[in-house]
Amino acid sequence: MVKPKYIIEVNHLTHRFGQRTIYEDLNFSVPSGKIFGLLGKNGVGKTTLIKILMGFLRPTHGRCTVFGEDSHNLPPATRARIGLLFEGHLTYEFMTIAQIERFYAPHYPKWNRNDYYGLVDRLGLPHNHLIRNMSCGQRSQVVLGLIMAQQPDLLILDDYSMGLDAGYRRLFLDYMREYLENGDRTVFLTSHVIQDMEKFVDEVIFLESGGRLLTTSLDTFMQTFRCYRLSRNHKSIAPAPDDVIKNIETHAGYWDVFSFHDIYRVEEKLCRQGFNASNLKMINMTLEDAFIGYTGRY
Amino acid sequence: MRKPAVIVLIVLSVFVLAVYLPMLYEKLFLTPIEKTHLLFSPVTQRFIYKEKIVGPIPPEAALKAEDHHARIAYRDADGTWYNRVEFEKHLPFIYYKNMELWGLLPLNLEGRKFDIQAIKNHRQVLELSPGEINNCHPETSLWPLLESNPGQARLVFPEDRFRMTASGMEFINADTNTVDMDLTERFTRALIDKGFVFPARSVNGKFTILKPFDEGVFLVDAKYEVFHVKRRDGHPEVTQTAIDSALKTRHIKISENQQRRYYGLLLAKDSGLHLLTYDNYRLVKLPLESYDPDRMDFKLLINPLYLTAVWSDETIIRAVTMDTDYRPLERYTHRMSRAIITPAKRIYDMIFPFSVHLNATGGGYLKLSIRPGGWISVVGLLVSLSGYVIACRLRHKRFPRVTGLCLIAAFGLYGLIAVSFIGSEC
Amino acid sequence: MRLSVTREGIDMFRSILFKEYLKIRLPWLTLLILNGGLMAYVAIATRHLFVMDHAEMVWYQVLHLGRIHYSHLKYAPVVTGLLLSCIQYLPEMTSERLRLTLHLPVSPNRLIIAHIMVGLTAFGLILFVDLTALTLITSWYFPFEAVTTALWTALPWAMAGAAAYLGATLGLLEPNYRLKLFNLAIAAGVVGLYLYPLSPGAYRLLGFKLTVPVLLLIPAVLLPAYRFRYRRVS
Repeated sequence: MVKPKYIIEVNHLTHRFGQRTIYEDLNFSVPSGKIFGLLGKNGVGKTTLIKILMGFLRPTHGRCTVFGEDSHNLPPATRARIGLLFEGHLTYEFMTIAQIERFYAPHYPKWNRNDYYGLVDRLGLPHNHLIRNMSCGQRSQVVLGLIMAQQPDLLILDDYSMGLDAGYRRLFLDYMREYLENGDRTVFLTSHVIQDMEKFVDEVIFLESGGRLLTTSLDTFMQTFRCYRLSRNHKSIAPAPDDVIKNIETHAGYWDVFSFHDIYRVEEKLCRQGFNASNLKMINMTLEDAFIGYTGRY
Repeated sequence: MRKPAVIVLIVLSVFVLAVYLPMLYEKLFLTPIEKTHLLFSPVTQRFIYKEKIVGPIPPEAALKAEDHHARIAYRDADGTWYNRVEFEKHLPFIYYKNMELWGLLPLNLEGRKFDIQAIKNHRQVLELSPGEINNCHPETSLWPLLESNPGQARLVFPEDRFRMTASGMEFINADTNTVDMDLTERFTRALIDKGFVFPARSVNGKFTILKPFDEGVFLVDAKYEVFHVKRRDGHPEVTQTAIDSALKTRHIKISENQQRRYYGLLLAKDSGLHLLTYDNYRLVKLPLESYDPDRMDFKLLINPLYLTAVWSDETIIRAVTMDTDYRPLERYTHRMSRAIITPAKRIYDMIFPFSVHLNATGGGYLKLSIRPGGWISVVGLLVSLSGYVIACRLRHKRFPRVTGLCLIAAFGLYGLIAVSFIGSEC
Repeated sequence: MRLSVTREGIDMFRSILFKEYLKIRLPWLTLLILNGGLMAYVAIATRHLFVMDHAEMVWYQVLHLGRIHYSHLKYAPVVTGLLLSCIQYLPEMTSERLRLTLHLPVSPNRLIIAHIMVGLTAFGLILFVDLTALTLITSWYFPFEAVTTALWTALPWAMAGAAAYLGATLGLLEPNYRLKLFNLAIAAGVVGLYLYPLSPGAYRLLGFKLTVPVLLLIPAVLLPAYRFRYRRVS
């Protein structure tokens, strides 16, 4: 099978729900063999993007391709190469562990039931256990097992962390890491929990409302994105974001100013806005701090 | 597969809309108008009729009207208007009970005197509607053969019913739901003995006990010979009639009237309608013109002086009156008031390019018919088309797609409705 | 659409059949039992007619006056069809679970047709039980001519049920509310065609024409399925 350089390509994607613009001229591509994380707050359109990529939604404008095929017209053979995790670990809950495997197996030529049972048996549940009677975490194992057994070339995981506690999130990623070891599979996942992405994804896409995005690696992001603290008196108006200042978060006695630029550029910008920035100092951030700083709290 | 699915859904929508929209319109805006009552007055010797007035009430009708009944016209062939009482007085053989109340009996007509008994002895009405003709209505082919000599005033149903098989007349007992071999054997034998050729083409009778006496059944055999079969004291009584097999009898409507003058009406294959008399099954062909038994209601009114045959389709009513020797005296054709094109009907024709009707008239089979709307529906088509074009310009600021236009041009209002819902898929 | 019988085609169908079986077996069995109960009632009611009146009078009422001794059955197929569609597609529509099936590497048309075939078979089995019971009851008390009439009377009701099943599916699968209502209205119109209050056996002359609207509903269901699968912005 010909392996295109990019597994997913999104070109000039625009999507609107009625009057509300979700994306305007969105562009990015996911190279083969990479793990891509699409990160953004709730409601920025992560699930919508997955629906478009899987052809469940036709975009207003622009073109998306998966394995070089138009996403709204993916032939069955291409769909067989895509393992899709629906938001909320959606599955047929009236089936048992064994029945759901029996249902999926005939559709996938490379089906490997050992991958499925290898994972699901770790739950210690009998095979006639109904999915309806499982916890969210247990269900996520079943769904992941099904995707793995399918032996897909591309895994699309829509908000895998939804409803999972820290333990199950860790478990999920550990299995994934194990499964992806040989490195020919491409993963495109969405999440709003950035901590988990550390040491897992190769690159991230930060999606903001209105469709602005930033494609970077987490290392680069952590190295270049900074937080500077500026003290304030209560009545003053906050500085405005501009080409240098990415975001401002207002706290009781200070502002946190976020930027990809060094302290001198930021100081200069703040001075221009009429602030006394002489006491500006850089603050260390965790990945989560940086992510929230980047996307904003609201 | 999307395109065929869209086409199919549109076809289905158009079909369903063409059934229900006209039906709804009819229920809302069109009042069904009864057929005209056309009769022959022995008093004036002119045809006289009663019908509902459609449209404005003429002053003559208002003048003759009784309180709220101004919508009914009583007129005769000369155009004279009557009021209800005058109308009834012109038809003394029909309203003879009123004549008696009003002290107008005995009647003096054409130099003869008729008292109530004389009138009763000669009055008879025979009817035939399209739905009741053999094979034109759903019927379970099992008939009762009543005892013609019940030995009591009231008729009773026998415990069995019969069917006509390829080779016999088979009786099935209702208590046991099994074939009564004895009865079957006896009746089949009796029929064969008289020359009956199986299988039978039709079984004709009046299958009720609410009649003064029983005349049995008339069976038409494979060679179109007509046999009169009765059960008398439990035994078969078969008569081969002299009715010409060349008539290819389609239906015999039995009347069983105490006067014992006519068995009833006989419909031949050529749509000729005959009176079947008690005079050794002699037939009298009625002098009808333009009579189509499959579309028209027929009625024969008999009184001591005249026989009047009246038959009508949906719009035209025709009549011929005969003397007692069946010689035609006078004919009359009248376009019924129900045929008048009212503004509501005009609009109906305009908005519906065609309509689909599923009707079972007169208790007959359900039939599907498509009625085209006529030239005036072109106006409706054009209005639908321009409405669509304007709506598209206003809503989407573009000229509509050709497919949509074609659908509306073909199906008018139905197309417009279908396209306005499914149009985005076209 | 290619509907040739291939190994994959059979596997696909078996897989969908398996899923649908797991999903609907219990509610389906309930429907079957309810229909069976109804037919038992028809049997009791028919027997009661013969208790109340002489056999020849019951025959007169049924064979001649057009009394329908199984009139209780009239709306049962419609209710069965509607419920069956809900049983089959409501679970698929909650959280749009049908996407799980539609993501399978099979053409969506084939998948939907497979679902409909399973549904129609399930419906057909129930109706087979109803009509068999009707045949048995009628032939016990009446000659075979009455059975023919009864079947020609009940067959349009069965069609109404099939139309109700397909029509409800047409409405349930359609994602757009305006079109959902339109589809339901059209389907209700089709159902109504089979439920005219007529004398027994009055549909007989229409013969195979009777099946056309129901048969047309089958490919029509592919449109809402398509619109569900490739949700368009319109």
